[in-house]
Amino acid sequence: MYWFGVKFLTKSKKLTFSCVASIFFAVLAIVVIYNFYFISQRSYMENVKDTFGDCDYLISDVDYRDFSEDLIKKIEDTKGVKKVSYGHWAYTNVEKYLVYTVGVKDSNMNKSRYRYVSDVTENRIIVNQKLAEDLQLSVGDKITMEEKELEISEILIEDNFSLSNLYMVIVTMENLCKSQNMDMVPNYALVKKEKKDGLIEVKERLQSLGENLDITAVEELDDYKKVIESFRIFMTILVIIIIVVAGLLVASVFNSYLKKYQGDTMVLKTMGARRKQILQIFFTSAMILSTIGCGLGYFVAMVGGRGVFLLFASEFELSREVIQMDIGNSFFITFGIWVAINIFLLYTAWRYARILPLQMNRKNTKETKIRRAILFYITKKDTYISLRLLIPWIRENIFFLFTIVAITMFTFVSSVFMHDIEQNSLAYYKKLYLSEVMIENDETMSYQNMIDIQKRLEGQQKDTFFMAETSDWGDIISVGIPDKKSKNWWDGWGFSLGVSQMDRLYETKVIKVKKESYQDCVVLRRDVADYYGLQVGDTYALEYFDKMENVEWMEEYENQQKHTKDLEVVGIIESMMYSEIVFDITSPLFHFSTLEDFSVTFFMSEIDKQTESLLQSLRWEIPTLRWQNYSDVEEQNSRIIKERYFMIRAVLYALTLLGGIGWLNSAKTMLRDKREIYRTLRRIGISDRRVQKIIWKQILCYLMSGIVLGILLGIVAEWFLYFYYLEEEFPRAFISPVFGILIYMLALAATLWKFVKDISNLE
Amino acid sequence: MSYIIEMKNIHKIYNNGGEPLQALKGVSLYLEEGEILAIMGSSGSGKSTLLHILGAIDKVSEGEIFLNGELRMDYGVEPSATRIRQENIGFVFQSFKLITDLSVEENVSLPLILAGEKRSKIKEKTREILKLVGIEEKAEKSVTCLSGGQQQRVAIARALIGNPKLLLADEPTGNLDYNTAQEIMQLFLDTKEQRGQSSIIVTHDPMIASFADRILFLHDGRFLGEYENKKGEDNIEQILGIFRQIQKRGG
Repeated sequence: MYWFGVKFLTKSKKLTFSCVASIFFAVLAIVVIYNFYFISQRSYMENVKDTFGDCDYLISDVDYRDFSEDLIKKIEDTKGVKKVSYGHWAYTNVEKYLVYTVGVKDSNMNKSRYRYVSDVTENRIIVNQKLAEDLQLSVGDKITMEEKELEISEILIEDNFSLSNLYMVIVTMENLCKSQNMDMVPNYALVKKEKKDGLIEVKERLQSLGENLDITAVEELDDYKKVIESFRIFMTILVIIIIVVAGLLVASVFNSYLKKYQGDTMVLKTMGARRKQILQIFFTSAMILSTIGCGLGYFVAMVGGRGVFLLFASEFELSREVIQMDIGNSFFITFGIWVAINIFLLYTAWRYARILPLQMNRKNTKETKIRRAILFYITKKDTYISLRLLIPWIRENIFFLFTIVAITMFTFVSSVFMHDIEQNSLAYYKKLYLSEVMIENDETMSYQNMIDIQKRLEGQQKDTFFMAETSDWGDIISVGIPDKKSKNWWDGWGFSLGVSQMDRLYETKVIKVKKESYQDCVVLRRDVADYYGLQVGDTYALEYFDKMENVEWMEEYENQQKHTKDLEVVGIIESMMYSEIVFDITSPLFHFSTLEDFSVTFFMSEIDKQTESLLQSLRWEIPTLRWQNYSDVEEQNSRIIKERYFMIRAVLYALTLLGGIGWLNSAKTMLRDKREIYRTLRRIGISDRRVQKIIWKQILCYLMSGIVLGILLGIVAEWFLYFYYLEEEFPRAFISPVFGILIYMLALAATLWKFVKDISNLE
Repeated sequence: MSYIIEMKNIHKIYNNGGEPLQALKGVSLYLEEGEILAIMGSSGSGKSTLLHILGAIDKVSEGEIFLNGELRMDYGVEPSATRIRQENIGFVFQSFKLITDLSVEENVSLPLILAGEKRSKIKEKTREILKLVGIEEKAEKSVTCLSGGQQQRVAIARALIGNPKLLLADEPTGNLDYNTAQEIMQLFLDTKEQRGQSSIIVTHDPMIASFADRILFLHDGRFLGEYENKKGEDNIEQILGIFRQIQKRGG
């Protein structure tokens, strides 16, 4: 019986090809995506390691104090620590610039962390690309660091400091410490752990050496985890799309294959073939199809995958060094797919084998009824006839319809979704960036510090302003605005205190209301304004209490002296990242100078060289200071989304291609099945043109039903996704990518013109 | 006396969308060894239903079926029906129903493969039966290369190869021209003479029925007449005459 399975496959070349192609593509796509995910993860790890080098931990003091000898010994003796390298960070004067200087005890770990190759010696210095370009330096040039002349031995290219617009140099630790009149002791350590020890365990042991130690484990970086997590979710979604659509395609093609042999199966059963024997035939076919499809998919993925990744390495920011296909795990994935496909195909074949000969025969009876119906309805519209012929066939070949529906739905949803993600991301950043450049500090600072920095930045960029926030209201307890419904102030919106320079906000067009004095003005956040129904120009009463002691419950304030202040709304900020309510720096309500712990963001319209230099030197005082341009963020954001959407589209296009071929085969089978009916129509006097018209309507109904249903389901999916899950407004329809599918399918349908002509002939 | 097959008072009722439809209304028949029985009836007389029941493809609503003298309550009931078909029945269809992807030899050997016969025996028996039906030289060819008559010979060979006790033929010459039809019917006679094959042929054609030993006339689910075939020159006319009378009487 197994031999029959082989024979049937070799005789049905087109169907066999379609089935193998569907399985091949599914395996290829899933294996490639799996490998892409891990290569990306490893690439990102490599990029992160560019920052941290070939080490597992970076240890420093939270206050950047030097390490004691005792601490050094303890670190080295910690269980699980394999190797330690030391260095010292500081800012030094290099060619009149305050430059981030790394003093190293030369070692491979320091080399890998800072990506330099030449040895660092007493008379040499390594500079980074940013410094070299700005000062037009080359290898061999001499520069001074703290009055000591050193020769440039290497220029770091595309280092992380240059990418962050920082000047950086590397010298010996001895040179650095001498120049600063310091003892030659390190203030950072790079640690490599033993392979067998766990990351967390070693970290905990190191942390126990001192509360003040700041230990960063490379794999625990928040940014790293966030990127990997979001990528993992994206990949999972992509794999689900592939599994669903490719699965439907495999199901529909295999179903066609079984249907082709329906008559033969009936004959075999009539001859006394047992269910098991029928199953053996189709099981053999299924095994051969799945083995060839999976084998080819795996082979092509392994052989071609690496080449493709290398080709697109720069587009997808893959590190070439880590591009290696994971042969072992890919094999297990392929095997898993093979098992799943065989289970499914076997189940489909088993269901088929259960059908009794009489049930197969009954199909012919229905055909006779349809023929009679045609005769009866012949005077009615052709569309009706087309539908009468189409509907029973769709019922029996529902998988093909589902394939078209699934492809259309995913294309529709993904195009809207990715488009809206991009727009929302851009909108998010647009709201966030009140000006072109945003300068943030991860730690809070005092009011005085904030004003100080503001003044220094203003010296370079006159349009500099800040947006700050504190939870400390100082002398007063502010309760904001009484709740709309309860009127109780304690149910009202509790605000953190925001402060800014409203005249600068006006100059930079963040707000549009000009005032001589902004001391009685506020800028509200959008959600607050909407909640209270306030607009620009409205006033509202701020209720507040003097600070009271020994008050435990909010209600106790009710008996205290309450004050009211009318404030005018002069602006509304869209971004949720800022305070709910922002006062002007001149507001008499607050004694800002007495308040601490401001989270500050500075804004300016551009960074020129002098500003850059100033920021670099500010870093010396505030190591957590960072800055970025909106245009860079916009470009990076768009690029990431485009990359991800590119992958989704590539997968969907490939699925559409395959699905279209499958649909074409099924359409041909459908028309072939109905050949007798068309002949009957011709025999009773219907012209060939009219019969062709009926056939074309049938084809178009078959095609459009899948696409229309796919769009409808896509709209439902979108409603669920946006309205229910993301709690956002329902987006506008965005069906242009679906037109691509439609045009492709119509083009495929058009290739049937000769076939339609032939089957509408009398002979 | 033991018949190859005997049916007593067979009723078959279908539930047609809630409304019962009685296709067979108490039919009885028997088939002796080495006999060719023809069942004549027009469209809608219940021929197909009777054929399905005889072929163990469908089960009866009421009545008894004896196979080789043994009462079989499981006749037409799966999974026993499969075994009954495999061991006792050979089918010949109007539209041949050959598997187009297989060659002549492969088509003919199917029943033996299904029965689990040894390969060497299969080859031997296949050659033998192809010789019997007169198309041995076409063994390697694809069935799609054959004429209608040749295809029907292949179908008959396939039906005979398992030495079935009962050969069922449903309009075996329906798709053939007159001369070829004659040849095929002669083949039925030859198998009867040479192998003692018992056959039931369902037909509406008096010419085909004239080859049978006995003819039963089916109308509206009942046998309304029986004719012992005298095989004379005018027996076709006689058969036709009886057929028309029965149709009139039955209407």
